[in-house]
Amino acid sequence: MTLCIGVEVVFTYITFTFVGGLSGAIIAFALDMKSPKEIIQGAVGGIIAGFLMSLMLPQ
Amino acid sequence: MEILGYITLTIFIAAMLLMLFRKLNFPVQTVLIAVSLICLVVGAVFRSFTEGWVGVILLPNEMIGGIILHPITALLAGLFLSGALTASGGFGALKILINKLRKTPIGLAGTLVILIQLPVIASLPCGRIIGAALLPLLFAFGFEGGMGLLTRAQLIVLIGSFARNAFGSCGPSPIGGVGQIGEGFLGAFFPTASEGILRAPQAFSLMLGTAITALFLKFISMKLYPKDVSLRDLPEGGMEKKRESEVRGSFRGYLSLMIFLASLLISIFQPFGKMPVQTVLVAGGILVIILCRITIRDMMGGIILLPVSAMAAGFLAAGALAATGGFNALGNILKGFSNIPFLGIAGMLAIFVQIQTILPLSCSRILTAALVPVLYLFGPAKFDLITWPQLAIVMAAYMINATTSCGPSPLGGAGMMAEGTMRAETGYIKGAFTFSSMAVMAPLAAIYMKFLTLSSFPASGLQFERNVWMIIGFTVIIFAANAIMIKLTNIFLSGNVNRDWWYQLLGFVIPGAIGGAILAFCLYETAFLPIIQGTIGGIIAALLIGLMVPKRLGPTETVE
Repeated sequence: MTLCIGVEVVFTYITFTFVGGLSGAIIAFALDMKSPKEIIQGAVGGIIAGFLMSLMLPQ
Repeated sequence: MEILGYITLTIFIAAMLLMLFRKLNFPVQTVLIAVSLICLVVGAVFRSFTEGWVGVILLPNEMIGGIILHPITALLAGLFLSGALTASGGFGALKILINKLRKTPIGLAGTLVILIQLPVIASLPCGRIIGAALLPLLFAFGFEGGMGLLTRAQLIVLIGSFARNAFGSCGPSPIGGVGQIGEGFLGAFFPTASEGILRAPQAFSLMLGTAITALFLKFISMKLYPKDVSLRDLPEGGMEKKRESEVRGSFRGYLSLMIFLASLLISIFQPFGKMPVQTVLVAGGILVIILCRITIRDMMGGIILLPVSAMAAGFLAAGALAATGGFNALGNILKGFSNIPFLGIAGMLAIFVQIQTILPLSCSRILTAALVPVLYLFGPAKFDLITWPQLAIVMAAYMINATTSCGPSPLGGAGMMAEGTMRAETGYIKGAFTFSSMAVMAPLAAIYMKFLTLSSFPASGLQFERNVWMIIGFTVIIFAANAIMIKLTNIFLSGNVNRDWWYQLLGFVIPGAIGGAILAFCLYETAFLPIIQGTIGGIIAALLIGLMVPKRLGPTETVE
């Protein structure tokens, strides 16, 4: 049971950091920040946001 | 009594449509209160014949009993605290911190992304709280706001996407969020549903929906309504000078910001035991007043009463409809849809999950409180149209769509705060907001519920499928399909108001069809007929949503 919960939590982290990174890159692009560096910065910001969001969810 | 429900429902929908199409030019509060009174009078006449004077006398009590005070008081408390933060210079301190954050390796792009996604992380019970607190800060990024870091176009995208995130963040909130209404009903089958079965699907879909909103604003809204934002752009050569201008912060500002953040964290995590969010926020506001020595007069300047009065009027109208059977009538109509062969249950549900985006009210709780019981009855509890896991999937899609509906509402919706901040005409953000709710959030929430959340909330020994690759795959597919549609629509926009509006409508229909098909897939997997029915339902919903997007906004576009 403990292992099962652990897997769910890890999957939650993976999915949220993924969607956070994707959203961050899209938002940076929409904000006319189109250089590779800015897109990566946006994606990293999104990954941070996604990870923080996943921490706030029921574990 | 059934006829009464259909009559009051017709009055309500007619009044809303007249307002949405600007045939009834009165403040939303006036119209909603008038609708409530008319429903009350009609209901009283009917009841005097069917139930006698006792029924008539009980009617106002039933109407007022349906009013939910929690979001109104939570909103007032949030505005109270943010008013104190404004008056004490807290936003000045926040500007300095953001300035410092953008000098870290994540830069301005990463900082803005975190800022845009901050509301869903904070998950307050009403997005207006964080919206009222941070929208002035976002405005400050532009030329007129003083920082001069962003152009006019960037500021529109920033404010719009932040607002999309904020005005959907009340759904996954664990402290009185809209989603908790649905979690309560799902608790009948999933024993741990109240721990937050709907939170992850909502938050997940909201994050991508925010990004698609940003794309829509950039590629479609700005092209459809080029003259309807009166924000000024950076002057030639003025950007560097503005960038270098120093923003000064005071000790009072930092202190009030710390109290504000502490209040938010205490509201969310409840480390001192369960207490109402209003108590925490008001206590925070009082602490700011005392410690930062601000006057009540200064603080009152930060409080906005429009959304509060609109919400109260909306609850009155909903209470009148509930008391006269208007929502029961709506439930019967929707159930009747499932008997239409080309719609079936899948098609009816594809329309149902979008219903609050079709009819957006000032607060999503108004219709959610009435329609979630209708959805519950579609399950094994009464009509047995769908199973419990299917009900959970539909509930996830419905809930995020419903939660985000206060954003595009022209009837005192929260999005009007964002439109005010970006100096835009009412309705500017409606297309972007409704598109992301319909095409991205509803199908994505269903996918997340089906392939991950259900397995975290087991019920009656059932084992649910868990497939993280399906979630990632569908996320990419939904993003790609919508990004392509947005870009294609952008290519076809030519400046002709009527033609552009039709292109935009087509841009709604195809993603709506895909969304309906994905919802049907989540419910019936690869069964062919339900997927076709879901597609047709998605198209109908998309047409109804797309038709509500205004062709033109302000008087500047009256000449074609």
